[in-house]
Amino acid sequence: MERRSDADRSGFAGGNAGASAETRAAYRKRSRSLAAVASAAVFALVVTGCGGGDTAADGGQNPEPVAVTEEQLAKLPEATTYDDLEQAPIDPEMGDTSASENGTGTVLHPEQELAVYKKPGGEPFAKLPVEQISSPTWVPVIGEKGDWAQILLPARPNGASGWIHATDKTVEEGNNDFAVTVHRDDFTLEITEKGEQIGEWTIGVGKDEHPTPKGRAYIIASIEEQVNDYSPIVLPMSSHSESHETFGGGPGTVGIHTWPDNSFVGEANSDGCIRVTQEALDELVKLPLGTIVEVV
Amino acid sequence: MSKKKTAALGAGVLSAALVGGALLAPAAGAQTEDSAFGIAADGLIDIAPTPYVEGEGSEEVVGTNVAGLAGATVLSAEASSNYAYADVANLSVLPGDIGGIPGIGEPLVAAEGTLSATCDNGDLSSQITELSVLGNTIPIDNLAPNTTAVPEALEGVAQITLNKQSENTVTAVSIELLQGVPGLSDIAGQTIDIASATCTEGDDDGDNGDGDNGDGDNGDGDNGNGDNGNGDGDNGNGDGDNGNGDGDNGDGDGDGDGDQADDNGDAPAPTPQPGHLDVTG
Repeated sequence: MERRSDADRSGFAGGNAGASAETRAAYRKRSRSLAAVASAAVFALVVTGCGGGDTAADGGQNPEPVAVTEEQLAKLPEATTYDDLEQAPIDPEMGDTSASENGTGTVLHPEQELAVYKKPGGEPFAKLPVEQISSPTWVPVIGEKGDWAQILLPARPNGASGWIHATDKTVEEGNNDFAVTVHRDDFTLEITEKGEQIGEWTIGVGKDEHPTPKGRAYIIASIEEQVNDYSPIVLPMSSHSESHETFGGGPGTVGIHTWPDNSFVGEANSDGCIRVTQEALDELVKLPLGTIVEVV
Repeated sequence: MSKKKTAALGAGVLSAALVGGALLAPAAGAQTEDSAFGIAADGLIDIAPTPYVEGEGSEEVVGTNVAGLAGATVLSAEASSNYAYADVANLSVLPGDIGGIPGIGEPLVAAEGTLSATCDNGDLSSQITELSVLGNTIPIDNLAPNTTAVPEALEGVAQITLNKQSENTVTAVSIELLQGVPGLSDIAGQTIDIASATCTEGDDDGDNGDGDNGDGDNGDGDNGNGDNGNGDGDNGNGDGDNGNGDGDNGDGDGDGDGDQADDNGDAPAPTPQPGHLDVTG
């Protein structure tokens, strides 16, 4: 996979899933190299002081990360579906639906546990593990600033995001042309590839008192379920129920899965999850982790 | 029936409950490199690590119940090169009626959902969704290594360590009974380990250190279909001792872990991984 080298770093701004199509097209050409930027393992960063001062050369557009020791990293809460990261900045464009038009865009896999910051050069507030429920962690990029990538996180609250210093030493990068759109009112789910619909199915969503949360989220893992038997595979999303703090022993994670019968089809009778037919699940499981799911 | 007999029965049931092969597993505490197990106990009641995997492979036990000692709906263990993982679903340890321990009626330790331990190229971590000790929920906000969780009523009686880490081994929950209890005096020193993983750190992959190691890439880059074995490990120490830049991708077998983009730079389709999460149904 092609990546920028340190010598070739050139900061770039612009969006990803939330950006215009034009910007995104230009972005994609460069996105392969996003991860390739400056180096240094996150917990061995050499910077001056703890302020994460901006580098003079880039006029503050590409600040160095705040130093995080291995010990400090260990104490940070993990960004997983089980956690509530109150300090996480909220996705500034939770209602963005550009992924269904252009695809998810860039997704990143941390090759090591990474510190997650409130903003480029800001304070760390969490760490991103390399796995989520046994699946490799892949997160969508929703914004960029220099060597920094703003990513969606799998934790509460809904829309939790954070910034990671994305370098060729710390992340694996992939392109993702797919997106999922859930129309709650129409009880439909569609998969698009580069904006072209490749499948649509009638589904079930959360009942009125436990609605499926709106906004953009993403698929965090692919689980061959070992305990529950209502679906052979469960695709947990980054979003959580706003009405169930916990559910069945879990943290209230919203998931996509099948159901033993068809009573859900075209109905709002789940506790927040998105129930789909086996035919739909067969296609959904092929989508890369990190694929954005827009719930409207 | 005395408590002593209860314990003996527990051990007997255990033997019947364990799947074939478990008897070949090493004794608790003798775990070797790149290995994992779901449960093990040592003391008055011995449980060979179960299920136990060493080297390469995965094992799962469904519906294990050791009468009087522990129960779980699913226990699994997985190991591969420089990696080990174990998880246990719906755990209950000493599920009540242990004489002398305050809080009779509640399990000593219970966990809804799945708890797990992961050792990935020397990186150790545990995941615990929800844990209760004698019915008291233990907040799991920030599971630092070697977190102790002992209610006041159990001080001096039992020691419970969460995310126990020692060298290259992580154990999600480690329980030690510090003293005997009425009717079961010999149980002092009993240990019970739940979800444990041990792994080695792989050789340098040619991609870490100070960046002066030749091409700075993982060799020929042809491992797009899978994991490069040891790529996510111990970079960061900056010792740059790999110098040859040969980009050793471990065993190069591409085990399809789905953590690499393909040759076109596209994110990989995932492989469903055995696991458990209670979603909102």
